[in-house]
Amino acid sequence: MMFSFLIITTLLLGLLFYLYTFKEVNTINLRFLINLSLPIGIGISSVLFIVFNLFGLSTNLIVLIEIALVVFLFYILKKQYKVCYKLEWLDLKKLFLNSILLIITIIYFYALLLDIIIFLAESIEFPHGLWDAWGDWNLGAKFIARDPYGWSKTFHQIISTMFHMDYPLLQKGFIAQCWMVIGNETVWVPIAFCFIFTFCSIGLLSASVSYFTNKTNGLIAGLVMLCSPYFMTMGDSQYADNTIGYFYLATIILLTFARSGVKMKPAFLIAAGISAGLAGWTKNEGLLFILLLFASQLPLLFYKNYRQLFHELKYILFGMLPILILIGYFKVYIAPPNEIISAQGIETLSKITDYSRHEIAIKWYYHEISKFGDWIINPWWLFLLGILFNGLSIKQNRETIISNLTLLLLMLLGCYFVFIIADLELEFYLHTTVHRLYFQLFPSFIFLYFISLNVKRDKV
Amino acid sequence: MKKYILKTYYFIKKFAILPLLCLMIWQQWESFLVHEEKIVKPTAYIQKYYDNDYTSVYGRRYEELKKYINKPCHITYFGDTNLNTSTILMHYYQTQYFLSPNIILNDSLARDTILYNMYFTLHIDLENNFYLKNGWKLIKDFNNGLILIAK
Repeated sequence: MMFSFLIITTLLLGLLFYLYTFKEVNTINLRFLINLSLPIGIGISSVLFIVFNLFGLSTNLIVLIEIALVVFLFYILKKQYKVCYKLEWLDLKKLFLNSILLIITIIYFYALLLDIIIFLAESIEFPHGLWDAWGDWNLGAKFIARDPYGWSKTFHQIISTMFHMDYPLLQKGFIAQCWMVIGNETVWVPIAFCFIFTFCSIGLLSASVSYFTNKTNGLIAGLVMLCSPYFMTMGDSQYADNTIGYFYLATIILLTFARSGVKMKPAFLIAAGISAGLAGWTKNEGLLFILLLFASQLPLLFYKNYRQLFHELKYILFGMLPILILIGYFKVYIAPPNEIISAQGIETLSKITDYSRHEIAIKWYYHEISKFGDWIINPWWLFLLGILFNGLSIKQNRETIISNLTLLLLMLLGCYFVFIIADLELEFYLHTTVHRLYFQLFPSFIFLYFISLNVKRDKV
Repeated sequence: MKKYILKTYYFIKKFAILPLLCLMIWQQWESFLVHEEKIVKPTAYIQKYYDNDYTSVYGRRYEELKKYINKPCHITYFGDTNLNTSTILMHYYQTQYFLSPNIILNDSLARDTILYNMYFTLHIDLENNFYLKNGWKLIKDFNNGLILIAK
């Protein structure tokens, strides 16, 4: 009961925030809005919870503050912006007129239902999740929930040679908040958390591809995710990879919204900044993502002057700044030192120049891409087939495609160098990490792929 | 000729989606087969696994022990040693998971409290235990491999 109440509060928090953001776009797909609102609401709620908890406020008071924020956002929205939102759901009439669309919709819902059943069944078999879940994410949540006023002083003392207690607290914080509100450490909270992020990733991808191209492509994009068995495995194992992958995707979609149309939309850039900040608040890879997000904008200097670009980056930074401050505080005062960074020194250069380390890393990058996602047939040829039949067109979303593809490539390259310089057993590290890195980036890649295809676009 | 090729191309393009959809149905069918037991016989599956998984069962060993630890403290941890590294670490991390917010340290520095987690061997040699011979007290042997001693 209390858990449902908290979930509704976070949904409303995200929903009102995005209704405010979308004031410049009159038609909103409701599916798109909900898939965006709930996870972002959870992220904002996690930030608020940790901030106020560090100030010594009780959990019930923090929940009341969140409710007050919902009421405040509702008041602002009602008073200042009298926008008539046209909410779209499923157009059944259109669906039955197009037989291919109808077939795809049926397959989509069949795959969705099967994946939901598999997710729940796997969650019953492993209710505490797999290794990283109980050894890191849920462990951190238990620490916060069981010692709400003392955890920040003891957190750095948890010895973890395999897991990373220096990872930020989005997942741990929200799960702990729910446990404290409910008064019970039920395993259904982390299960529900991962369920939301796994299925909202698919929903958001599908709805956004539909918006920018057409409904058929939107459903196929969602189907690609639904049919990737490993994506479900990552979700029900309660790892944070789907969570961070969601925030990468949301950032890229919001940047695409910001730069679509005649003029740039600052509200979307701020929302993209918040989403990128939440990626940083989820895992350390998110911090690399934030850094490379700014670096990936540089190719846009070929298309616009630096003042204009700087103006846009200011909005992104403004959105993520409060979260960056919180991450900074966490890293300096609460978390143990990062084992990769603290191990750097004179030997870093020798690792970078060690040919054998590069050989191993490249071998694993290739190996994981060749058996990607546990598909019965490697899915990469499908993407090539799509390009072959449709061709590519970057005319409509040129800026977003160039900058965000650069961002994904930089992420692969950035993580590659992290693997090279890490003071961990390289083969083991790559074996446990590379496939997860691919899956973090996969939803964003699919989105960029579909908006780059030269296909007939639905009128918005 | 050119017109014919173009016509064929557009025909293939129009229906190119069908093999893709077939592949996706095939993929989901494979997923179904992997999880068939869970989907076809859900009641039996839930009865078999619900609250009966390895981690939950492992965690129940700590329920009584928790009553002996009143406030967050640092505990020295010793576990079974004749195991592979992965299993040793798993037992250690699960102990940390179930006993948090206490800090469990496996660095063999003796603190005020020591926990033995002898999951396989179940007992320690109490008569020849170094700490017990040097004035430490046995708080409780929980008879499930967990033994708590303190100064």
